[in-house]
Amino acid sequence: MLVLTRRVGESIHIGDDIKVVIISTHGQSVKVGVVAPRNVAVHREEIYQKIVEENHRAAGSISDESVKKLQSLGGVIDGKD
Amino acid sequence: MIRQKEEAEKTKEKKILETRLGNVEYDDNDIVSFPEGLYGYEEYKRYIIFQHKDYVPFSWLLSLDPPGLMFPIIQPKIVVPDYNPKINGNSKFGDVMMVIVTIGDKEGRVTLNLRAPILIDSKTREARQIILTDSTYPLRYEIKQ
Repeated sequence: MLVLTRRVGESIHIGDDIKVVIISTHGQSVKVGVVAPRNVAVHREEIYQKIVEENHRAAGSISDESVKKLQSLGGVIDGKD
Repeated sequence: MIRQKEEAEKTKEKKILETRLGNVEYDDNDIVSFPEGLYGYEEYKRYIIFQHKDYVPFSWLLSLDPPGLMFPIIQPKIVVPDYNPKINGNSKFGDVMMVIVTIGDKEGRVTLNLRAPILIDSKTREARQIILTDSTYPLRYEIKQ
């Protein structure tokens, strides 16, 4: 891992079009700004991992039995309208 | 001109995808592409959206390459009428919104991932899954039975 020391207000460039700015610090917290092109998704690591896990759960939850469950649920949802 | 016509016809050629739900017929015009894939499935980029009368109002996102991977999906407003997430400028995209459904954990709950909806541009048939910055909407919204 590349480790760099930066002061508040200073920044880091990654490639041609990504910039990370250190905005402020408060105790153990660091506020960071990210400037990136539209096709680059920027997320906190924890939420990114959660979404990956949830997608795996969704794909992994498919079985002949679980699919039937969805079939019966269709009626319940329709009934709400 | 003739060649173009041939190519256009070629795309209408019906193909069959074998799935757990049976054989699904599709042609190239039905393909929805996810240039970035889904989170955790970045390498799967081509899907079809399949509706089957037995599962209405749910639909299915069926992977074409490779086949076998599938997700139940639904338009979130059918379950949560006031679902109206703020999508920041960088992610603004598409005119159709769907969310992924997770069926039955041990307690048999069925949940919707309202935190990471799928946005689809129905004209270009391009889609992407986005992660909402705003944490108002949960990863697992339970459908009450």
